[in-house]
Amino acid sequence: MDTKLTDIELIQKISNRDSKALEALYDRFSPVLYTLVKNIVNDKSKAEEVIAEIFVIIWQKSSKFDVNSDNLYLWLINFSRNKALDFIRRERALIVDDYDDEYEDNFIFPNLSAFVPPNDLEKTFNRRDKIYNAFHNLTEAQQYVLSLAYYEGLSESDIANKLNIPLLTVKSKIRVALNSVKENLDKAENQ
Amino acid sequence: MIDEQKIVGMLQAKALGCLDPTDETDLQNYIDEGHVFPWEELGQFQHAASLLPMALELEIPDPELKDRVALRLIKLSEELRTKKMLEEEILKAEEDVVEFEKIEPPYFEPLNEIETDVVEVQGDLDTNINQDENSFNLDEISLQEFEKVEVPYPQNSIFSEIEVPNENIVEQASIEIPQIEEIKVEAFADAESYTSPTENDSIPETTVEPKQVTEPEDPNKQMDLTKKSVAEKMFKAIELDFDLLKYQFEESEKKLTRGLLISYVIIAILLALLIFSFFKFSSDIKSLQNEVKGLKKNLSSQLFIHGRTNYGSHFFS
Repeated sequence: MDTKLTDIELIQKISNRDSKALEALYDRFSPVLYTLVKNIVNDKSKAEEVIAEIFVIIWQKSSKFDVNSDNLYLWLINFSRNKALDFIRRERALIVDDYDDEYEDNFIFPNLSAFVPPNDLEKTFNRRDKIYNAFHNLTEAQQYVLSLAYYEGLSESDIANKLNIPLLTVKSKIRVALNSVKENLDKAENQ
Repeated sequence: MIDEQKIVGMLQAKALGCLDPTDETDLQNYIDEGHVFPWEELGQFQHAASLLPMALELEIPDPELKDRVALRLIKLSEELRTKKMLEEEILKAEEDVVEFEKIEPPYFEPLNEIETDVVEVQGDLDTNINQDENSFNLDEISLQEFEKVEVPYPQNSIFSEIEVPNENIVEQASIEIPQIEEIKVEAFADAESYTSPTENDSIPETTVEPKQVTEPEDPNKQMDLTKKSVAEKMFKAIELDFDLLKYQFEESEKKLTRGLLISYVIIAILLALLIFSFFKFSSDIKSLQNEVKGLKKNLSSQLFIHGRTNYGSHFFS
C-alpha cells in the first residue's frame, strides 16, 4: 500500500473494501489512538480491546465519515474517545442502553461541525511540540480540569462535584483553558 | 429564550463533550429554533480539543494487536458471508413456497359425469337381472356401459407429479389436498404469506399449467438449513482457519521432506563417487606398483648383466 496516500484517500479506499488501506490506516493512526484510549481506560488489555473494536467499526462503517470535512484525524480522535468513554461507562454500569446501530450512530460517531478546518495526522504530528507547549503553558488547574473533561469524560457538574468547587468556576476554567490552548497554538503557528 | 452570549460560552464545553445535559438541551433547542449558530467557532474549538492527545507521550501498541484486529475482521467477514448465504437460502426456499402456492388444485368437474354414468348403468342392471329367480347372480350382470366409463382425471395434474395415487382421489369424493400439508415443513414456518387451503376453499375452474409445477425440495434438507445456527457457521469458519493452518503446516512439512530427500540423493551420489574413486585409485596404485616391480626387475637384470660383463675386466685389469 502506498504510504503517501492522504488520510482521506485511505478512508475512501477502505470504503471500497480495500483491506490494505485499513492496514495502512492502522499503521498510521494506531499509536495516537492507542495512547488516547489507554489514557481513558487506564488498562493495556482494555485499551487493546477498544482499539480492535474501533478498527472493526471503521472497516464496517467507514462511510459514516464525511469525506468533504477533510479532517479524518478529528473524526477518528472523537470517535475513539467516545468509544473508550462508552466502554468504561458500561463497565461501571453507568450506561445500560443496548449497544446497537442506532446507539452507535447517535452516541459513538462524532457529531462535528461542518466548518472544522482541514487537517491530517502528518500535519498534526509535525506540530507536536507546539501542541505540547500550548497545553503545558496552561496552569495546573486548567490542565487538570481539561483532563477531567476530556479523558475522564466528566461533565461540568461532575467536575464541580469532584473538586467541590462552584459550577460557574468550572465552566469558566474550561472556557478559559480551551481558549488558551487555541490562542497558544495560533501564536505558535504565526511565529 | 437563551442568550446568544451564553451559547458562545458553551462552545468550549460542547467541543470537549462535557456539557451538562440541561445545557446540551438548551443548545440543541437553540439550533432547532433556527437561530444563527456559530458553527465555525465550534469547529475551531473541536479542532483544538482534538489536538490534546498529541500532548501526551505517544505509545506504540503491541504488534500482536494488529494480528488480533486482522483475525477479528476475518472472522467477521466469514460470519457475514455465512449469514448472507443463509439468508439467500431462506429467501430461495421462501420463493419456492410462493411458487408452490401458485399451483392451483386440479379441476374435477368430470366427477359429476361419473354419477350420471352410474345411474345409466344401474338402469341396465335392472333390465338384465332376472327377478323371478330371487337370486342375485353377479355373472349375469352386464356392465358394458359402466366398463366404458373412464375417470376423466387430468393427465397433467399436479397430483400425479407429486405422487398421489389416482384411486384415492376418485374414491375420496372430497379432495383434502394433502400435498399442501406436506409442504408445511419447518423451514417455511416463517412464511407469513402461506395459508393452508381448507376443504371449504373453492376450487378454481381453471386448468393446471404443468410448467408451474415444481418438485418440492427434500423437506429434510430444508429442516437442516434452519437448524444450522450462526454459531455452527462460526465454528465452521474457525475450522476453516485451522484447516488453513494445517494445510500450511503440511506444506512446510512436504518441503522439508523434499529437501531431506534431495540431500539423501546427493549424499548417495557422493558416496558412489567416493567408492568409485577408491576402487579406481586402488587399481591405479596396483598397476603402478606392478610397473614399479617390472622396472625394478629390469633394472636388476641389467645391472646383473652389466656387472657380469665387467667382472672379468675388473679383476683381471
